[in-house]
Amino acid sequence: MARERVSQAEEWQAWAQRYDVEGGLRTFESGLTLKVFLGAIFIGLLMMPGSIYLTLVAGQSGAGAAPWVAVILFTELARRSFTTARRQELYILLGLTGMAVGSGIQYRAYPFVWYAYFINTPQAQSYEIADKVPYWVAPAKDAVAIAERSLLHMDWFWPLAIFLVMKLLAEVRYISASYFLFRLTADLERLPYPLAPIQAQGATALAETTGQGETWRWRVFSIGSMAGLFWGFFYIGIPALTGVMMSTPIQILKIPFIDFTPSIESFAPSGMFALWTDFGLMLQGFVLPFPLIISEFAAAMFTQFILNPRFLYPLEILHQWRPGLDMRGVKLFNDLDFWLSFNMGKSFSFAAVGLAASIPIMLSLRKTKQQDAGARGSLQTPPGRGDFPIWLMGGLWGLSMVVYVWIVHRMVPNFPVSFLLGFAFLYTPLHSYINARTFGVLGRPLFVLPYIHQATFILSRYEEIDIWFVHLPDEDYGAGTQHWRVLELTGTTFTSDVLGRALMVPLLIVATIVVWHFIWQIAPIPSSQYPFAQTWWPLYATDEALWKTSLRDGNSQMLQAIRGDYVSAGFTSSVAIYGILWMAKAPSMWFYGIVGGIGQDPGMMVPRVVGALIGRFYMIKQFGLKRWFMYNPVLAAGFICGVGLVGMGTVAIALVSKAVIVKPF
Amino acid sequence: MEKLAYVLIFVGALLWVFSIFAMGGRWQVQLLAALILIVGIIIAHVWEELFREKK
Repeated sequence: MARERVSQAEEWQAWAQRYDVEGGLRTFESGLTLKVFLGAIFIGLLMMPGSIYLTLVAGQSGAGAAPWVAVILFTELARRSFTTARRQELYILLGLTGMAVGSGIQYRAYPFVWYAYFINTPQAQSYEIADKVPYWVAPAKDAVAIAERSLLHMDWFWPLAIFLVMKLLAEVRYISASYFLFRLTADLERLPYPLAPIQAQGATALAETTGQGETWRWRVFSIGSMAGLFWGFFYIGIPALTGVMMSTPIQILKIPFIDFTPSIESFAPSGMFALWTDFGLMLQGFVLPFPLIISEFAAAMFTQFILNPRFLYPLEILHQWRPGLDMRGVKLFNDLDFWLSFNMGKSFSFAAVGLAASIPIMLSLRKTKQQDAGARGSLQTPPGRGDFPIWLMGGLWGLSMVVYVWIVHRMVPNFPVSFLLGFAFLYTPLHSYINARTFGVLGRPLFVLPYIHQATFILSRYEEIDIWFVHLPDEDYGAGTQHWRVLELTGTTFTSDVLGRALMVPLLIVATIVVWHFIWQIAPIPSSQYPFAQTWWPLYATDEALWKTSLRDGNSQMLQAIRGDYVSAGFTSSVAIYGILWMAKAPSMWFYGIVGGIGQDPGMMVPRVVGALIGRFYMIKQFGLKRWFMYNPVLAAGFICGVGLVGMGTVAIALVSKAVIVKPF
Repeated sequence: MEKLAYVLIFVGALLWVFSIFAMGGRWQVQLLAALILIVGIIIAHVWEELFREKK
């Protein structure tokens, strides 16, 4: 019997409905109330200095778990005050505290102290960079502000002013462009966004604890949290705690992987297999579509056990491989020889296929204009969601990008403006669109164009070093599209989210600068007060000096590795796979799995495959398809919360132990 | 229209295999194959969205 063709439209619609646990029936409410805003500011500003300090001392900020801790604290307060917390409020609280805690943790996100250190390093001196750092990055190396370790000084006027303007513009671009792409991928195409329900269901489960009756959600969330606590203690806690007491930490399962690559080289030369031991990834296997995971794994196995050893290696395409290499060595050489170029071409195929599927939808828009919101091919929005006119968001993005390009042009006036415009209006939209689609299907980004900056600098023949300090207008808004989908699933109005962010961002920028100032005042960074920074910042400085001078002779090994015929092979073979699957009436989900898995290490997928198999052949039979798809995002949210809490606890213990000075008597 | 899509995808895939095994993987020929494939895929989706009779 001939297989019945299921169009891509029907396929995506079915997956989107499956991941919409509540069947698309929801009312939208604002999540931004005064108590949420004050709670986010209070918890965020309380935790932010701690997370910055932890990053400098221990290299781990605990920022992943902090928002969940905030939400649990908030729900407990609500219960004890005999009031309720709505899931919309909790999701907004999660977002805002996450922003607050995460805002200052990376030295590169707030790079003032870093550059104040960098320009005085021997590396910067010996590579002749120290005197060439532009005035809008850091003051001169002998400036008073640096000697006094003060950020609140006029010497920092230009770096701070440029930074503030750039951050605010970046926020406008991010909100408007990710919204625009969300409308295309989620509303128009109905891509399923399989990982969005995890966050949505976590907030929903916690909100229910403050209500009258607890439902299945809280039970499932608790089971997930306990599993996360056990696994977190086993996988993160034991190594972290024993690392405090012993010179070599005890790892019951080797972190992050057990490398079998040398063991398989006798029958699969140039293949790699490193088994990832984080079985927390099994939870992703529960959530992600089964055909996607299996086809991805099959393609990765085919690559490492057939394609590499039987074709590419004998044909001397993989010519740098030699026996005895571990996984990192094999990956490096194979990437340089072939896979770096092939994967670039493969990424472009996602854009080509996405556009090929979208163009007919655009053509049919007029016909489907009258369709209900929620139907594929319709840009109609659900009532009360708090949407914005799509032209307004597109216009805002365009305007803020033009201003951004103009500022960058003023900062580096001799750098060809055509390259800046190319990044802003060609590369960024393409990059973002591809990743928005892959987030919509795979739950992760796939588009990577390596060494694009270096390639640009070589092509532009620009030799000044100041260009290395500029944030070029190449951005990726793809990941941001998932956030809008979570808002939709939690029934939170978009306007309340945007308003919350608009109020929070200026506050956070100022607060983070002040906090960095005070932490710098305590002791020089790096110094013995900040052991992680003391160990790693000198290495980062060497790395940065090497990169910033890597193209002085107009040469780069990495750039030479990119070959046109291999890029074309990646692109054309991927498009051919899509076409052949269409001819065979196979689900298009297979395309994303197969092409996503080609060239990858199957060992890293094993935990996900185990999760997918347990879900498909045990859990679905046990609970039924519909109930299992309702349970698994809640379970995963609880698990993430549990692991995060263990991580935060162990970091705190490690911090205390580092703060204790042992006297010899 | 469906048949045209089939033919174009088939020809594009065949041309790509030919370019790899008979022409040393020349990128120009590969991209020509990709162009044919993409046209085929667009036609396939146009047919699916606009002309296919749904049960």
